[in-house]
Amino acid sequence: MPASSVAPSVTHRPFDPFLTQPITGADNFQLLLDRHMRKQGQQGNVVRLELRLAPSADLEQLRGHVQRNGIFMLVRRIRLARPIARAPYWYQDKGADLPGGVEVRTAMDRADFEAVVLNRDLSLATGAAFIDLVAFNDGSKSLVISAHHALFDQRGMMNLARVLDPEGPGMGGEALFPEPSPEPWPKRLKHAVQVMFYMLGSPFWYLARLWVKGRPPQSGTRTRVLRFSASDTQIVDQQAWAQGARLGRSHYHLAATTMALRTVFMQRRERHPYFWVSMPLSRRPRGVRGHLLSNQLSFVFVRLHDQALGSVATSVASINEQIKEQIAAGLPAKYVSLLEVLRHIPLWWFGAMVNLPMRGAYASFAFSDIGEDHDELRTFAGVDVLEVLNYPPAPCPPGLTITFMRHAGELKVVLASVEEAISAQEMDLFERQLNALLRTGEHAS
Amino acid sequence: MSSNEQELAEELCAYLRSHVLAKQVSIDPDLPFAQLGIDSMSIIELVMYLERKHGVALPDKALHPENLRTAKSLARCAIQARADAVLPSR
Repeated sequence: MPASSVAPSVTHRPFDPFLTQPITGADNFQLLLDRHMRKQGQQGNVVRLELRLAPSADLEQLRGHVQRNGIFMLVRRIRLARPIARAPYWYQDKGADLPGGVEVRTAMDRADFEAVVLNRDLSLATGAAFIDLVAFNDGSKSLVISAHHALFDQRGMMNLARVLDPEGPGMGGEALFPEPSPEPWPKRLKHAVQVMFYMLGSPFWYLARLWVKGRPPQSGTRTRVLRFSASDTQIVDQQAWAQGARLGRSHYHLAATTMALRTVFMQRRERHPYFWVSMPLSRRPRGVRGHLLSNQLSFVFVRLHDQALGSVATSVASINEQIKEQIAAGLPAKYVSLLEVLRHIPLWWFGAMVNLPMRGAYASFAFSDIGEDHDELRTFAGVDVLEVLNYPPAPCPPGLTITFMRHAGELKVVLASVEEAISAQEMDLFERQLNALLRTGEHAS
Repeated sequence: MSSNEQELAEELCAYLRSHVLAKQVSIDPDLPFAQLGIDSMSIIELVMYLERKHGVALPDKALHPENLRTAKSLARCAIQARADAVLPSR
């Protein structure tokens, strides 16, 4: 969003040394995923934002700036409290000893980058954010923000990048946390029950799932990036339009992703009645940069039956219909109500409610579409930002997360996977099929 | 813009003010949605609102990016769709 369209300062909360803030329902959901991942032996629910910088970037100078950045230090002191008689809340541990939080790495190659930076674990107990400043062997440089997803949604990550920019607007008068939701409890409970009936109204037993129990997902997250030039991105967009994605390109992206994954199951000689995917939606008020910390998310849910997956056009039509139906029914807002209610039960109970109907699968795969959000990051510390990538976590199950994003008119797709759910050879197949489906609307031969 | 289109465009702006935009953010019928970070899901909400409140179902061919760019263009498109539904072309 261009800076000129951002409204002047919003609710300004000065630095509060006795800061406490209830977690949101969406924070709680991310905590659930964190618990799910750690139980399986994976690292936690960590998201990453990579800014690939022009070679003239001075990493040592940036390190100094980050180390002196008061907001960053505050973030690293945020902790989670889970009292018995009230909803969990964030607080600032002023006594926390804060070694590090930022590292400069030189002469790194991409293999080490994945192993060391993209698999860096973060715990809420020791600091919810970390900065890697990397100089690669090929001369390129990157700044990578790793942050715990329970405290940061996508918009929050972007805001943190702006706070860290020594030539940026800092907090720009924005609040640290969102305003609490004013929904009265009777209405909130009513909406929560409506959503639960909707969710439990269909059986989940037979959804397509990659990961087979018995193979603990402990090999780490593998990452691939599909990159499209500006002209190729236009071709993809034209295909999206041609295949019926009128009210959002993400419907086309999701259709292509599902059809590509179906080929992996066909190679396994498996046929499943349907795929089940949730798509996160930002519930942040628009038109402002917004708060830094805490998630404001909801979801829409898509069930793609095998019959619909015969072509991209029929897949898109099915997605269009389901999303319109859910938005017409006000489901995204009601899902927020459900998540708010679920803050008040222990995580193990919340987990059981999700696991039982789905036999622990959560979804056939994880999917999100960031759109053009990254476009506002064109410079950092006075140098050009050549590329922006968001690396999602890959909770297993399902073991595969696909995130679409754009920067400067170029589409990028980050594929995060776990070997125990989908092998490297299967990822080659998936990547090839996804590439072809996006560009042409047809499978690769 | 006709007075009907103006009225509908203002109504769409009012919807965005109460359901999508932050409290102090101003919008007028000519401001591109993209400039305020109004994404495709919010535009779906507007389209569903038109269907629910005004009984206007926008045909597929009308859901062109140019028609979904501002409150004014969406209002114009909706008025046209309503007129076409009443007087279908021969």
